[in-house]
Amino acid sequence: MEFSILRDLLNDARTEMGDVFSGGLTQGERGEASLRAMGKRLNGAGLRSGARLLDALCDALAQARVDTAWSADDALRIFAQIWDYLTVCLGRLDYMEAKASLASPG
Amino acid sequence: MSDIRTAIAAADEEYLVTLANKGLYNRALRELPDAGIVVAAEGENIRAQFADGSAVTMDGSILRYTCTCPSRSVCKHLLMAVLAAQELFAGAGAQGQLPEDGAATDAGALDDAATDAGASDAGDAGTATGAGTTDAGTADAAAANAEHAFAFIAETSAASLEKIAGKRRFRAAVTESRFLEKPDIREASTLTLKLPESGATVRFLPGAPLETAGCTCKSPDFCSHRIQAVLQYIIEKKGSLPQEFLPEEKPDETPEIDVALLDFLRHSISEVFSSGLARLPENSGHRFLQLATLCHSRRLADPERLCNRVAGQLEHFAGKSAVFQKEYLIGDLCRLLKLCDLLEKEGANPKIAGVFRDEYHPVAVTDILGLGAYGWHSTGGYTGVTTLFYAPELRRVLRYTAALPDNVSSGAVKMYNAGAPWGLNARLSALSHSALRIRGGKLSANGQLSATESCHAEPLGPADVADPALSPLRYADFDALLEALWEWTEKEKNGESAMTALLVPDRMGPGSYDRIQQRFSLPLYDAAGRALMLRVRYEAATELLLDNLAMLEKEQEKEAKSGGLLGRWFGQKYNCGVFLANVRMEEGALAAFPVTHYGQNTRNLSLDEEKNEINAFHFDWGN
Repeated sequence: MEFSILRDLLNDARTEMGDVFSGGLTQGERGEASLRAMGKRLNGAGLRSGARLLDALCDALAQARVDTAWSADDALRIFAQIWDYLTVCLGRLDYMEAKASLASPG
Repeated sequence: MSDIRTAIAAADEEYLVTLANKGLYNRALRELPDAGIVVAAEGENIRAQFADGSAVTMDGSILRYTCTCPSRSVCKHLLMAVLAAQELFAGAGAQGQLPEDGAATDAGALDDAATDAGASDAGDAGTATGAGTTDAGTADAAAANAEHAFAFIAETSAASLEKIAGKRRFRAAVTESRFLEKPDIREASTLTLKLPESGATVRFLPGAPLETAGCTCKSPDFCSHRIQAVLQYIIEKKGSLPQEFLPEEKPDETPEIDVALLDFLRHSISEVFSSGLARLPENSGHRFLQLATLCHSRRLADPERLCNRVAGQLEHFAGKSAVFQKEYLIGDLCRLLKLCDLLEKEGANPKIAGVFRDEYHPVAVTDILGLGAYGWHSTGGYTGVTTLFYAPELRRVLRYTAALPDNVSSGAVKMYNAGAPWGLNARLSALSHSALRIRGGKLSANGQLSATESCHAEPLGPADVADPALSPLRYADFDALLEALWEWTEKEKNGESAMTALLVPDRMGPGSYDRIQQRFSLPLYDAAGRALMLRVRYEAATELLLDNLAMLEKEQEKEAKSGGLLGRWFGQKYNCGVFLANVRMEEGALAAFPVTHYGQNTRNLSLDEEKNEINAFHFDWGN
């Protein structure tokens, strides 16, 4: 897969996460649905760990709606893990792309 | 004899001059006979009443005194009180008894012969001698048994010195003691240590408490010179500081794990995530500021830094500032959450809690090579100049930053042309291309050098960018540079956003300007044709830098046409010179922010206007 497509995908995932953050983790189903869709895109691009984490986050958020005694801590930790994952992926992608571009100088 | 009586008996001319000065001492001697002093001793408390109404009270120590006169420093009354008390005690001793508590005498009457100020009377030790003379018996004994008389100083325990000096100053002095030159030590009636770095002279009295030591800095407290003098005397007598002075653990630097605080931090983060940005109360930023203060008091450096950053971002959001970046806020909150969990799991681990970057610690005498300097302007409203150095012995890049708030700053270029720190008779601009030896320097965890007055720099000459000592920073192969950058990003980043490197390109240009992003890019190529982009965004603080880069490009073109080389430096020939730059990865490419170009006209690109070009061959240390 091209570097630019992967970068766009990772940036899109960060944007989705950012939107969920802005609206509040416990504020409804719309953000949850877009996160599940994003998980599928990550899975399709071979970023399976990211996809699994997004699914886990969505499950935790879904539980929040049915369980009033639910604590946000679990979802919060998964959110932090995903953010960390995306940041590391973008860093590695930068390195790999820079390496590739140096290997084939124009 | 009590502590204060021992101290008074041993306080000779040298000691009293150290406390005050020669002129005041002579004046005290002159006025003593007519001062009409009545000295009264009561336990550790000695009171001297003067005919002019002034009164001096010494409470257990010569230095712990009060005087009713208006003087704010050591006054003639204190000196006269000590001299009068000496006479009182010596007189009483001659009669085979020490004055009883409550005994009082008129010093003027005791010593009618005290007219010959400064005269020495080595006669009967027990006789009240002339004013200004030392108690000859005591002085002779001290001189004869000098080593024995001061042995107690060499036996000072770490705990007792720490108690007198205070924990923080004690620790700083112990660290510093290993890097200081040996003082000049003289053992006579007093123990005198002259400290070469500070120039201060400290005098101790035989048998008297350490707190009675006098110092030429005149500080009424137990100053850092006095602490250092004790340490240096111990080193002199024992060869090194005993182990008790060098604890492996530094308790006050150990983070304190407060589970309640960690829970509160997590709760506060959770609230931000749960409610969402738009529903956050306006004072959320303030809460994180309070949390930062709590983290600081428990020495949790990284959590404190993150709380401050979160507070800043929340305030930007509340103020609808364009500076607000949601990604930064999310990243910091996630890192903070992770840190809380780690600290709870791993306990008081300083590696997890981080180090305070604004705390400076003494650094050994070391040589530093000036690399370059750049001007900057922060979103927080500060303008500054940062000078970069490489310390070969420490194998790291160090920084010296001069910064001022915008409302008092007259611009980075003026700061750059102002005076240099560390006692150098030079402009700040000269530092960026100089090799210096620094003594008494202080360094923060992220490589910032302090402007502390205790630091003195000795110029060693111009720094040579081709110096083999700089080879760890020099890259002619951009693939090797990328590998080094990746390793640095993974291991050593330490809060920095870019790695400082010296780039040796084979060719450069042409440059281009992106009008949409308002960014100038100038490609540099290594011998294999691999590219690195010098990228500079247009803003007020980078105008001069952009002008200089454009000029550099023109010079390069001109040289290329005439078959010359742009980069000639110290007899070395480089095709287009050497760039000092802060290198990072950006959008899948190597990118760098240029700081300095070394070539025919070496320039700090954001600070040197054409007319101010630096020529390292004509080094000027004058103003």
